[in-house]
Amino acid sequence: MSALLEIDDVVKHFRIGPPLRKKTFPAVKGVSLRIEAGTSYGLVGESGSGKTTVARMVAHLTTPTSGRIRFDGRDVTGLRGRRLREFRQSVQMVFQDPYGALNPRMTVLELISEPWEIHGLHSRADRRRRATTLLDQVGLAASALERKPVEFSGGQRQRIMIARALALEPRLIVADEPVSALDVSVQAQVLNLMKDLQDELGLSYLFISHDLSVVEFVCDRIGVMLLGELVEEGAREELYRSPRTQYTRTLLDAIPSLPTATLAGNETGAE
Amino acid sequence: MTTDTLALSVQNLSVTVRRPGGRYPAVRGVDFTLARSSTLGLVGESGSGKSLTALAVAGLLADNLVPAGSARFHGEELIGMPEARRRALSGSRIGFVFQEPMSALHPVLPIGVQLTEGLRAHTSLTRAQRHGRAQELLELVGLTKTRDILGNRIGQLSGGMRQRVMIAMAISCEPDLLIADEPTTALDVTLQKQVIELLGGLQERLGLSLLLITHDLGVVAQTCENVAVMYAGEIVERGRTDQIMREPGHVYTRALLDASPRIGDARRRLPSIATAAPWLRDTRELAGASGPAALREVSPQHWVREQDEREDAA
Repeated sequence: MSALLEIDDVVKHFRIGPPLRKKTFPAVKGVSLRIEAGTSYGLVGESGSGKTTVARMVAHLTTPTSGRIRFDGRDVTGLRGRRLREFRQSVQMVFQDPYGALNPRMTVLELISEPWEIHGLHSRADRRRRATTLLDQVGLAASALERKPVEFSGGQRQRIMIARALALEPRLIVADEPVSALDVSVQAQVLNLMKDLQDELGLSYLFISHDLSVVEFVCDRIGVMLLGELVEEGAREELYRSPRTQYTRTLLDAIPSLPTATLAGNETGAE
Repeated sequence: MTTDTLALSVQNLSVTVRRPGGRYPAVRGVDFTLARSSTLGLVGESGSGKSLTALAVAGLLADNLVPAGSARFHGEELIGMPEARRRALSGSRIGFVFQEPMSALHPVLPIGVQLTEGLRAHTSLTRAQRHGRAQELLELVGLTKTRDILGNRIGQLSGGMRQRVMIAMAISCEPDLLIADEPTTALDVTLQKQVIELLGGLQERLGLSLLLITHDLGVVAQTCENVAVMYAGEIVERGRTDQIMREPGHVYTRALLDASPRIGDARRRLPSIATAAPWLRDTRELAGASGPAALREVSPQHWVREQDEREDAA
């Protein structure tokens, strides 16, 4: 199988301190990973580990200082202009904070149509129809179209954000802490939705999270970042069952565990 | 249990929201007790009323939120307490830890000034004594280079250090009761673990009574002997933490326990909560004449709210 996304030794240095003084901070120090089509890759780590910077480089929101990013076999590292716009259709982002990421003055229809406007796709009437379909896919009624973000709960806003990310029919969704602002019950719904959409549309995810249990639920492969480096990577079962590094073990141990009671859903969910 | 062994006794506490279009109860019929030197977790999702309950006890409600009912602190009624008395208690005998140190602490005042504010207000310590005490407090919460920290601004510290400073501030006057509202929610798991251990350690060493507000049942399981689960402004279940975790009596508690993914669970889908909390503003009639359903003692010290058919079907 060929990789949908391949990151090869990417490095990102940020300029810090006063202007003109060339002081830099290495946020990402040479990370390589690959995501196969139709699979989910989880990137976990604590604040400051560089996981969000990796996500932003993949989505072309920031440029790597060095290293290569290949998407579907093509080098996309230095893309500009029309090529970059084309690439952006294939990779969309879902952000952490659905309160901050949706323009409060736009209606849901405008929010979902904005990517089409930017890329010059679809007629006005067509957009409304397509937006309705997207809302349906994320479990919202068409009546949401004319409403503004303030009228929705956190979980509903995250659904709107996902609908917007799906508008351009991307192949890869970069989701940066998509559920960490949500209550557990809402989190469960959004995680289920993301899995369903993956099955339906064959999406791939780069899923950024600090929560190892959420990542285990969603992802096939997992990478652990610490201070800008990928310290461990592996298939889900392998990484959780036998973590190779002390740091991964520390992270796993730090999760406040609940006494094991029988879980509802185990019986029904195991098929 | 007699009242003199209780740090906090809350009875039929309600908080009513007054807004231009009318009023509705955001918290109602809340009963719980917190024994001296013990720990109680108040758990629920956004909008369940857990923070409002804590704020009502702490006397920190905004003007449009009106508390009623009773909350006794070592026998003394807190609801409707005169401002002067409240000020004498707040910060000295009741400490409060907020969720976000960045917004709860002053960005520009040096930490030393903020940390000694309670000592200035409530003790007769001299300036030098306060300074010494501040350093002790920072050491107590596990910080080093305490002299430097006292001169720092909050923005110069990491997230974990900030939360430690806030805890140091909350315990500066050796309170009897510490109310912590989501103290670890903004922290990474490893820091969260440290802060939980710190709170637990302080609680034991100083004999504090701890009221911990959180959405995270895992945190409660690690920290609290007792737990009360809130849903839609009411307590639906309360009792010993280990017992409730093993045998949740209310559908909502069960749903909360089931909804979090756990390491090693093989579920393909997470059960969604059919009883997801309603917007109280929208369901005001729900909170109308018929007050909250009663709690029934299903086993010793384990209280569960009577469930109506709709809930049972969920």
